[in-house]
This record gives sequence, C-alpha cells and structure tokens, in this order.
Amino acid sequence: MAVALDDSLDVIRPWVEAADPPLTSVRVALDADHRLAEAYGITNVPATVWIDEDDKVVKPPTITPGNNMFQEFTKIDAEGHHAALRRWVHEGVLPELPDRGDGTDANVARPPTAEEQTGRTERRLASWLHRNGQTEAAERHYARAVQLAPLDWTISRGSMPARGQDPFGNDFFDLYQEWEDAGRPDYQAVPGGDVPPSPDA
Amino acid sequence: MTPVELTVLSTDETVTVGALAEDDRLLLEASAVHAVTGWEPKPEGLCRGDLCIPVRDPAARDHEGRYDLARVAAALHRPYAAERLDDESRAVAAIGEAAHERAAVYNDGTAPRVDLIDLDGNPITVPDHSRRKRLLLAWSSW
Repeated sequence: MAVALDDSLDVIRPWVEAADPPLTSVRVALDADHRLAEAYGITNVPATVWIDEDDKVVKPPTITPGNNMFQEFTKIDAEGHHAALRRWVHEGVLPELPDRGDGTDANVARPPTAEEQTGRTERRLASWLHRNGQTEAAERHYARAVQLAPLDWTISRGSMPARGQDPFGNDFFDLYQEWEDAGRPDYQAVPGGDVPPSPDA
Repeated sequence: MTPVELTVLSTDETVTVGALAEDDRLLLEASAVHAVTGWEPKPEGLCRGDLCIPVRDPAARDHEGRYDLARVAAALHRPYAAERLDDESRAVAAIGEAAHERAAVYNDGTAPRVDLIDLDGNPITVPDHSRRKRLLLAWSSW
C-alpha cells in the first residue's frame, strides 16, 4: 500500500498516473492529516514499514528509496533494503537493524518527544486550516509545528508547498544542512546489501 | 459568548460538535467532551471504562459546568491547538496524543489500522485485513 503524505488527491494523482511501471498491485491512499504517519512513527519519505501475517510491525519505518537516483543525499543503496525485503518475503528472515545510538530499541519506531507530539498536533490543525482556505491562520500553526519538530521532514519539508516554499529548492537545502548537522537522525539504512537476492525473486 | 460549530481533529477521527467560544476559550457540554475525546466527564474525573483521570484544575469548568477544551486536553496530558475561523461562527481544534501513549503503541508492535481515503475518495482502511505479509510505503509529492 502506498500512502501519500500530501494535502489533496489532485496533488498525488499525476504522480500515480505517471508511475512506470504502472501501479497495478499497489493500492494508493491519501493521509492528509498524517494519521498513518503518526500511528507508525514516520518522519520522512520514502519510508516503508513491514507488517507480518499476524498484524505485527516487524520492521519499523526506515528510509527506503526505490532506486539510487538520489544516493548522493540519502547515502542509502536501494539494493540493500530490496535484498532484505526479498529475504523476509521468501524466507521469513528479518534484517538486524543498526542501532540508532540514542538508547532506543531499533526494532520499534523511535519514541517521540513531547515537543514532536505537539508539533504533529499543530501541523494537523495547520493543514486543515490550509485546506479550508484559512491561509494566515494555517501559517501561524505551520510555523509553530516546524519550530517544535524541525527535523521531522513530514512536518518541515511536507509543509513547504502549503507555505509557498520550494521543497526542491533552497528551502530544502537549508533543511538538509540543518538535518545533516544534527547527525542525520531517523536515517538508519536497512542492511542487506551482502545478502544475495533469492533465486526465485 | 458565541455559539460555534467546533470541528475537532483527533488522532484517529474528525468530529464536529456544538460549543461556546469566549475569547480564546472553547466551552463544551460534558456530552461533547465525551464525543471529541472519548473520555466521559463524571464526578470523579474524565473516565474511560474503569479508568478515571481527576481534573484538579478549577478553571477547567465554567460556572455553568461547561468544560474548557484546552484544560481538558491538559488534564489528559494531550497536546492541543485551536483556532477561530474568519466568520466567527466556526472553530477548529486539534487534540494530539501524549508522547508516552504514542511510544506505548509503537512498543506494543500491533499494526494500528488507520481510516484513510483512496484515489477515488472512497474510505479505505490501512493496512488491510488480508493476513498476508504487507508493505506500507509512505511517499509524497514533495
């Protein structure tokens, strides 16, 4: 399932229609309120979560680019998590996730801080205000949300289009620098590059 | 005091109730508090099943017994944000989840189900109930 953290169906539809190969077996949903993002602890995209047959989250969100187009920024080799995914699907073997270095359990989503939870709440209100034409009020709450959770990209970068900023331009590069200076939080790659792909994958 | 139509965005749903607005305060009857928070005001506090959280803040209720939503959220240790809309007859509030509640859901490990909409605007529950291995991909246009 591909869940878009965007403000409207109109924004995501062209991306779905341009998908190559076409999305035949993938269902697409919109999460404008970031309810799924919060429920699973997603702080950036593209992130994947693995759920097993017993409805258990067996891999919390990690950043998993579909290919290596932006590897210069992500420093993640897509082959690694693709191999790990194939291994889980075919053999039921889970990857050993690298430690975050902050004492939290790498096998569950990082626990949020109180500030981050307030930031998510402010963003949810801001997004609703933006979608309902209350632009000035929306901006106040977006600004507060970003202040509270500056390194949650779903808040800081995700609000750029609504705030008239460029998520692919200088506003992005400023955020990228801030995040890099902070030690690239929430960006542990799934290991698996040394695992040969399953022969029948 | 102005009657307002109040939309409350909680972590899992959006509910609209009647309320009274006075300056920055949004005042709700007990039944509306129950509808928007899932916690029912009772003499012993805000209750859900057998669990009751006492409301010690005397300013949480006005002289008519109505509840100040910001103070209700504070008693529940939940983040809160609110805004009056331009036409003054509407207001919107968001009530989030406390960090420790969120962490408990992550630690429990059971995949939460979230109601979203699909590309046609129809309701869809994520993840589905298929009892297969499932992959959730969060993506965006930005």
